[in-house]
Amino acid sequence: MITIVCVIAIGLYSPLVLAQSPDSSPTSVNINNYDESHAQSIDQQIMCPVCPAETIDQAQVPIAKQMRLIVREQLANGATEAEILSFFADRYGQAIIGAPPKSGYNLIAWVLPVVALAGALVASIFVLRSMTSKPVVSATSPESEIDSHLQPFLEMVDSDLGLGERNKNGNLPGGPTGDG
Amino acid sequence: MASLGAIGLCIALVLSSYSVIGSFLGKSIKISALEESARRAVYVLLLVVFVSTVSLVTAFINRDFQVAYVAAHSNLAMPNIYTWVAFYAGNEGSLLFIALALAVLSSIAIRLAPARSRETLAYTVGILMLVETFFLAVMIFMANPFDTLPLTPSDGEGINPLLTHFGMFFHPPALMSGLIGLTIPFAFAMSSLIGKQSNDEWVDAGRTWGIISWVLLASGLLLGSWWAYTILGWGGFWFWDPVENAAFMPWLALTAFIHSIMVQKRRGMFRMWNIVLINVAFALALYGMFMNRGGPVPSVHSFGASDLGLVFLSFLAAGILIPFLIFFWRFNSLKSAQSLDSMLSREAAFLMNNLLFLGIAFVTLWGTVYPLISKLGSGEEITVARPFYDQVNGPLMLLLILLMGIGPLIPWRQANLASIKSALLFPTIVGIIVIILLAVCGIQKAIPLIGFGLCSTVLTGILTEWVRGTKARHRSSQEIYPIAFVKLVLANRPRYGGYIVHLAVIMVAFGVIGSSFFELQRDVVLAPGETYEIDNYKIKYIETNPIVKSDRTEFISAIEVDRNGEYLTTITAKRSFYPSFNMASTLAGIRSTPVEDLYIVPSENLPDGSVGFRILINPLMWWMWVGGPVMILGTVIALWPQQIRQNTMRANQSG
Repeated sequence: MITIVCVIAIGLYSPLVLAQSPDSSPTSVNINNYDESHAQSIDQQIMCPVCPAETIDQAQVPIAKQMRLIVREQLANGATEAEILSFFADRYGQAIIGAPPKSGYNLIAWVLPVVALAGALVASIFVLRSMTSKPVVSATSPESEIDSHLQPFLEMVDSDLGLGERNKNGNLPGGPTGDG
Repeated sequence: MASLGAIGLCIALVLSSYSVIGSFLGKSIKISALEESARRAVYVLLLVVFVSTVSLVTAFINRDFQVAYVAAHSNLAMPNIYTWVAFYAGNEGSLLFIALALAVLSSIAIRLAPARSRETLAYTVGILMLVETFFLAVMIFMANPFDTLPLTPSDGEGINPLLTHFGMFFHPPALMSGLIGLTIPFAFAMSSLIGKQSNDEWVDAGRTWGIISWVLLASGLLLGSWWAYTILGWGGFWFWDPVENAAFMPWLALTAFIHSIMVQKRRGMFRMWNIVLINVAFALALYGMFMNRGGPVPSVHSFGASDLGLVFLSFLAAGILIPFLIFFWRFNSLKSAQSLDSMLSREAAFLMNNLLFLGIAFVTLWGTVYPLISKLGSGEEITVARPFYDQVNGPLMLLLILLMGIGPLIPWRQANLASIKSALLFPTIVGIIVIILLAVCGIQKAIPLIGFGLCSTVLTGILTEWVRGTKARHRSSQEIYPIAFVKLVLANRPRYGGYIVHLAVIMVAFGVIGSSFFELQRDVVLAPGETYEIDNYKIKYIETNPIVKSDRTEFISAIEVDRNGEYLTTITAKRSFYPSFNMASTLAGIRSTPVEDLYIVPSENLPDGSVGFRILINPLMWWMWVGGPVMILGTVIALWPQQIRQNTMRANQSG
């Protein structure tokens, strides 16, 4: 399906492609003074314009190959990563870059997950605190059947780990009234 | 044959509707015979859906092109073995597969329902069959796999070439069963809530079926990654595709759930939270099916775009809203039976685990919706793809590994800080030594250093626990070490099964870190006889033999590989061109070892006989695929029925 989409779309997009012969691929041009792994890390940030959800590093369609070549030519000419990315963003729009820029309005995309997670962490600490401060219902809760069967083995492991003896309920010393 | 299938679907719809009405009505007006008959209707429904399934399979085997679905997804050239894959290659067939999977899983779950959940079983049956009714109705009214064409074509369109891969025999069925399987723990949870019981009686069934869905989803995800690795031809295995994400998110929520449910099982706590978690997981599973079968987002999975989107979206909305209302209706019955003893306890560690898993799921969902928000907010078109997820979810996953090292060493109820310190001391030292050694060996990237360090800490923690337990058993029972170890595992299956799953996660993490940070990739064009040197390999392209088949031309390239000047192996890699689809599919040639994969895939066959290859050296990739079976083994051990364990215990006690 993707390839079909690509094949159709290449026809539409090809006028946009910069002056490159259709058969060119990175190795067929003699540009050597660049770092290939750096080039690949840039490839992985640029989306293929015709293949949904694929970067130019992944896509095997001609336009992706030509874009990979442009990345290498620009690197060889001394362009920085930021310059290359903005070169593509200027021509294809910001959507060609695989992640929102870390500036302006789009900072929300990056900041919100961190804020949400920090908020959830604080909230869950509060919940845990409120759960600890509640009056203790029962210290001798009915443990399930499995647990009583496990008892000897849990003790064995714990004593070997140096965690001390368990009480009848499979709990470690300290208990609900402990001062941990 | 096809008409039999169509009739079967209609009978199934009648049965499932009857079962829904009978269950709820029988429960509310207290006629147990009605409840009983509604329950038995599920078994009949299973039989009928099975007959429909067989009739579609038969239509495929006979290449009955009068059936539109068969004509669209197979042709005369297709080998019969791909019938199974063609069956779910499109929407209609996958809906039938989902309906069958739900019928099978529901029947087993109802038949084997634990005694303590019998009281509210009628609600469980009703909820399960409500979901089944939805899928049957969608099939009958919108996407019937048995629809016939006015004219019978002489040949079908053929199966999508990307699907003709070994992994496709398991990846879609595992994921679909996993997603729909989530309905079962959800139904048990909801029925317990509606039935106003003590709200702990769903816990056993919830845990068991949660873990079953979990392992199905996990296997499906791993198999999908393996498929992508071998066939998509760019050397990666995961690219945060919207549909991958849609299957990944319910798995994350479910992982949180199967940890958190243990707290309720042991301590009667987190009741409310577990209901929330299973609801979130179920909603995400519906979303996953919506993304897969509704196809609103273009992706590698858009095999069958359809107009089912709106129907699925409505069902998704109902699947979120109704449980939400029931939750608030029964809110007061969800108080914890006990209070938390200490912030430093297994319970609290599990809550942190939940936080991280849900955090990753949230980031993934956020990335999926952000482009829309950006478009509405600033009008700017934005892409959120792999670079975003790698940067945000990567660190969260490292934190998860850290927690995986600490959590299992913290005892229930209340931990003693000194004992945790002593338990963590040795694994931490090992982790630090590994980091120093790797840094000395020349690894300079911070993230993989931390990753490998954390992995070694977790690994040491698990192994230390195993060694100590085995020694203790050996000392107390005089069993020889291997037997002592096996009995140790058997005596506490949930715990040691869990450890084995953790071990598998570490293996997968090894593969992910190794291949993400240390892969070496080159695109080269080689003429026959030409060689290329990469790392300490010398790759010599020998020749390509085109083989013309009825539906495709296969270009099979032979590549001779030398390492350090000595002949190592000959790799064959394949590129097939399908004229009727105007598309090519590739099959990479991979030499896989625990140290690294040598991966060669032809990306283009040029007219002059030379071939463009992508060559990769992917360190540690092997571990990721081996992690899968280990994970399944751990899950089986964790779930193995209690009966056998009790026998073992008795044998132990008497012997």
